[in-house]
Amino acid sequence: MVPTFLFLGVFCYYPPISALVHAFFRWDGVGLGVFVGLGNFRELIFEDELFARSCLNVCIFLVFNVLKTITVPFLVAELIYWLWSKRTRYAYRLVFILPMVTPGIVTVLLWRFIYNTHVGPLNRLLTMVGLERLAMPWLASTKIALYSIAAMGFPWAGGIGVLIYLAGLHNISSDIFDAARVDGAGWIRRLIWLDFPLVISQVRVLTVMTVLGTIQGFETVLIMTNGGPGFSTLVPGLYMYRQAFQYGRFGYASAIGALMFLGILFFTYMNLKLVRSRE
Amino acid sequence: MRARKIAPEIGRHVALAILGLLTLAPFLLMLNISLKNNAQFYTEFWKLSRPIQWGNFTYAWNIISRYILNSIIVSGISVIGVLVMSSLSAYSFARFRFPGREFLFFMVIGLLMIPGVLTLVPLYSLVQHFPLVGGNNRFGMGGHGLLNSRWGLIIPYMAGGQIMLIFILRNFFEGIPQSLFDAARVDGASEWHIIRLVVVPLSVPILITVGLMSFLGTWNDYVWPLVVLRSPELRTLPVGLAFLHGEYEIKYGQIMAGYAIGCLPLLVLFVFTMRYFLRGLMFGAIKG
Repeated sequence: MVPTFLFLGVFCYYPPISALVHAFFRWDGVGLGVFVGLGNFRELIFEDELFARSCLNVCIFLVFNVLKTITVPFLVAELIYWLWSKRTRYAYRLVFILPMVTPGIVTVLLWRFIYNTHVGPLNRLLTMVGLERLAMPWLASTKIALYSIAAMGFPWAGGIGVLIYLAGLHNISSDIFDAARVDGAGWIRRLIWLDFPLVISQVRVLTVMTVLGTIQGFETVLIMTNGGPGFSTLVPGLYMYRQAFQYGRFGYASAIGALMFLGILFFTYMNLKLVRSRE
Repeated sequence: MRARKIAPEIGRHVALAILGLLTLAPFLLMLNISLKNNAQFYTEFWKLSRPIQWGNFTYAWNIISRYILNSIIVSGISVIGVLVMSSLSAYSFARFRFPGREFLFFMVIGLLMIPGVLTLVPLYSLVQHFPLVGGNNRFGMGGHGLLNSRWGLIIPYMAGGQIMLIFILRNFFEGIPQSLFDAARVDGASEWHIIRLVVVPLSVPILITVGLMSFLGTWNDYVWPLVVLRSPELRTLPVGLAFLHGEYEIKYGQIMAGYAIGCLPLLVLFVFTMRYFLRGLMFGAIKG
């Protein structure tokens, strides 16, 4: 226990406290820095257009990512669940897990290659089938880079979502499905009005995971475009990273981190409240 | 019994086959390109090229193997450290009564609420100015601290990784029926004997699961090694892979071969520990 708390104290308690304190300082990472009160926050919220931009961008990512995790993986889980033979169910499950078994970085790097304007497979494919006019600089245009990144991973079927939905479907009693059949419900109606509500707790878990991951994560953007072209794909996490490690403004970066923390707290609180009110 | 109509079943197979193929398409492309030289890459992009350029893999291996080894060292030490510390702590929380137990436990679990973004910047400063290491004096000045060393990765991984594990393992240890402990004690076993002969054998599956979970977390981490490490020869696998473009004049075959090799360690691990691996993935996902 002693090593646990020693480690926790130094590496887990100190940093967040330090972050919250230094959010009120001009700090270059050494010593305490200069106290500036709410100066960092004032600059961030009222003057810094890049920060506003990054918040807008992350909201767009949020919408896309949540839709991505609750739709296709659910459909895939449904398709797999109703397959006849256990062996094919198992085999398909494996196919959709496989992307999870590769380092996340490889997927991102491969998509960066797919979107490459000159040699990327996407533009090659479009040219090949006679749609040259749709071929475009996917990651190099300020207008579409954001959406290219948001659409990454098409058809959005691989990943943990399939597994979680499958587990949910397996927990549903087969009596319910039999009853639905007796009532003559078609499969689309059954999917929307029966199965989806029955896995709603899985939907919620995945949504929470996705939202928290999207707010915090900036690896993908860092690798794909580094926030560019211009600042068209900048997200708050990446902005914080840049303020700290490129400009040495550790205090300002801490303030960004603190605001993101507030955002996450707010979301967690709303989620809890929503769950309570439903039950 | 399920009513069996053949048409929907065929429909399901077609849909799954298409979705599956699209999901794996980037990886199939990667494998295909990894066997081409640049001329083949530009002229016959989609075809399987002859002659096959196995040399790409030899070339990439010479670069990637170093990163894989670095990642194994960093993740391996971190996971072992995390497992030892968190299982001891979790066992104490679960089995012994001591004043302030619930309060301390709450203090650990509360940390789960702290997001990584909040800690990234001050953790960097802490690691840089850690006293008495890397040329630093006792005020943490003058040197580079733990920056650019493996310990700069391992120690924060160990510290942060144990939180979730303490939570999971405490629940598990408390779930072991009291009667087992009583029976062992009646047979004259000491606490140490009980741990070795009762607790450890029962805990092997959960330890493998949570071990894999924290292994995956450190293995896939990109940002922290990126900011901590300066020397290319210390790079972990994700950082190494991301910088492959800089190491070659762009030869796509060799780069893709590098990515393919980079996928191998996890695949091998997955094949050998499939069931635990999946459960570890689920735990890890829900944690985030």
